[in-house]
Amino acid sequence: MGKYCIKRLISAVPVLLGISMIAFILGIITPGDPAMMALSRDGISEVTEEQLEEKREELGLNDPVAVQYLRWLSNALRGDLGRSYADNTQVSGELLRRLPVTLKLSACSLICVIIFGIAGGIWSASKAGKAADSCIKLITNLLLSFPSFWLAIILIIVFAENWKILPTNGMGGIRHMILPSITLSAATIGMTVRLMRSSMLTEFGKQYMLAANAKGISRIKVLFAHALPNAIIPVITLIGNYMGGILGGSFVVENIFSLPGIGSYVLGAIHSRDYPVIQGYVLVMGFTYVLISLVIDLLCAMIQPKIRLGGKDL
Amino acid sequence: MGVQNNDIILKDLVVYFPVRQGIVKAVDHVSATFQFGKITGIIGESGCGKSVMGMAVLGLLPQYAKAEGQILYQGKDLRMLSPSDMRKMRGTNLGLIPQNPADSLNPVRKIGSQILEAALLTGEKKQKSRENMDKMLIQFGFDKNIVHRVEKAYAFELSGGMQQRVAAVMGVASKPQWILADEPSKGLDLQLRKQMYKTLQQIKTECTDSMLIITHDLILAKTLCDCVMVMYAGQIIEIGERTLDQPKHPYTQALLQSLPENGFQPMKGKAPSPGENFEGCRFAPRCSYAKEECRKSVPGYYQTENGMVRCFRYAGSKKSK
Repeated sequence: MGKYCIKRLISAVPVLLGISMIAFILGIITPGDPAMMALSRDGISEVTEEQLEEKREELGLNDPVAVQYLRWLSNALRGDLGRSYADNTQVSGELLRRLPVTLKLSACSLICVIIFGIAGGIWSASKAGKAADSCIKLITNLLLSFPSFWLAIILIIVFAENWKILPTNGMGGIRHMILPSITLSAATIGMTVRLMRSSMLTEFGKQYMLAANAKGISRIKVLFAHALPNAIIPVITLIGNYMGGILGGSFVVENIFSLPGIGSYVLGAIHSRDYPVIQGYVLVMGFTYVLISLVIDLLCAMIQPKIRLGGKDL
Repeated sequence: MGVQNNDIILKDLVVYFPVRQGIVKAVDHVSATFQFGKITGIIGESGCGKSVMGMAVLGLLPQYAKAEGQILYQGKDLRMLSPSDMRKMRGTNLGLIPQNPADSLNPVRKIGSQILEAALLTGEKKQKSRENMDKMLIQFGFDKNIVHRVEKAYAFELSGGMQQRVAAVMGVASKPQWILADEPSKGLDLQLRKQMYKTLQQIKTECTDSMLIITHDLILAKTLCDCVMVMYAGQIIEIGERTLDQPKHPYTQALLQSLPENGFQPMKGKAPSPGENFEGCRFAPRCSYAKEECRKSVPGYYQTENGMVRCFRYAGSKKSK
């Protein structure tokens, strides 16, 4: 397992480098001169040619691209992602302040997906063909077809306006996270239930399940100790992929529920073409995503011995 | 049925699968007794319904299968038991040695935990069950030194022969009264088949006294079984203790003649397809002895010296039931 861990960690390095390059190139190919933008930020100053040249020198824009990239990378590694064009604040500082909000939201959504998605799938599969199964199928269809903003509005009307039991916006305790995380995870829950169900049913048909049933052990044991560890592997992979979607899609939900996360930060930055912020966002998201897929891979390897042992015969 | 009867008795058992064109009868009104303390072999071509019959006894038919008739064991009709009672019946009373050992072991669980699960059903303490498991693995030919390594291994890390022995241990670990071996030698090469014979022989002598072996391997049936039943198109057509030495039914004779050592003569005609309708004797279209009578009316069971046969050629002898 240790060896597999190290192998996966090493293989993540080129991906991370690739992400950093993409984030950097974003700043290079965008139209407009960063020096010009930095100087004319206030909108009133007249910029002279000397000032521009001086600023370019200061920002290192006259150096070759490769040198600029390395400088930018080494700054980024030290936690300096440059300053926002819009308000001259440190991008990394702002991202760090906002990242926990987004992570908290994603974590709550993930918990929703794990609890409702996996449990729903198992239940649905164990009742396949019965009324409970059809009921769950209907619910997952609904979950999959709701647009998230619509669901958010309905949830706000029902839980916040009519029943007044949950807050509509802002930060606070776990209560503030309930509506946003349900909105964010609804579609993923639907997907997870479906995949979990079909994955379980596939396992039910396998020969080892017949053998397990023939052993006379309890149904619960057959379900959870035999079918589940096999059936959950594709589901873990799916949830991992969707985590990226949850992170990326969080800006809609953050905006609706006025959460100060990085999603709403970058949305503002896109409007004002604040490239350092966008660069920082791409970098942070890319890194988080790589981290998540690393965790997913390790989880799968833990469950599936064939992955970690490489399938060699004794 | 006051006294506990450990025989497994099938009464008019029918198993069919609803399909779009109607139904496919896999087991067609089979009545038979599998005697406690004996090894009964059920032989027949692929698709004759022998495995389905075995699964019906264990209550492991797929959900879409429909069954009628009775399966009596210990004075109870197994078909009437609730799913949880049937679960209790399996393991401690009825064990299975499945076909394809490689697929019958859970790929993500260690061998030891899979065997232990069954061994714990005997009601012994965990420690004792663990010792029993070690003992059994050694008994089935694993070297003392590698037993613990095997227990910690996953199915895919074992060779075919090892998987087979592990599957056998898993079947007998709960010390069932009856063991049902479903096509134990299917898909095995000669070497593994020989090993399987040895394993089954060992189970016979050391673990249990009642076995039901479902197979199309005539040599296996001949060497191991006390009583052999021959199935054709969902029906039992011959039962007897010397069925394979003195075959009576033309089908059994033809089966034996198709063995390499008996001349390698292929049987005439095609095996009946599932869902086919029959008039008269089911084997008549392929039978070289078939007469007008065979094609029109269905033969009953006729007594022979040491068994019963379902063929008009023996109609002269006393008719049984």
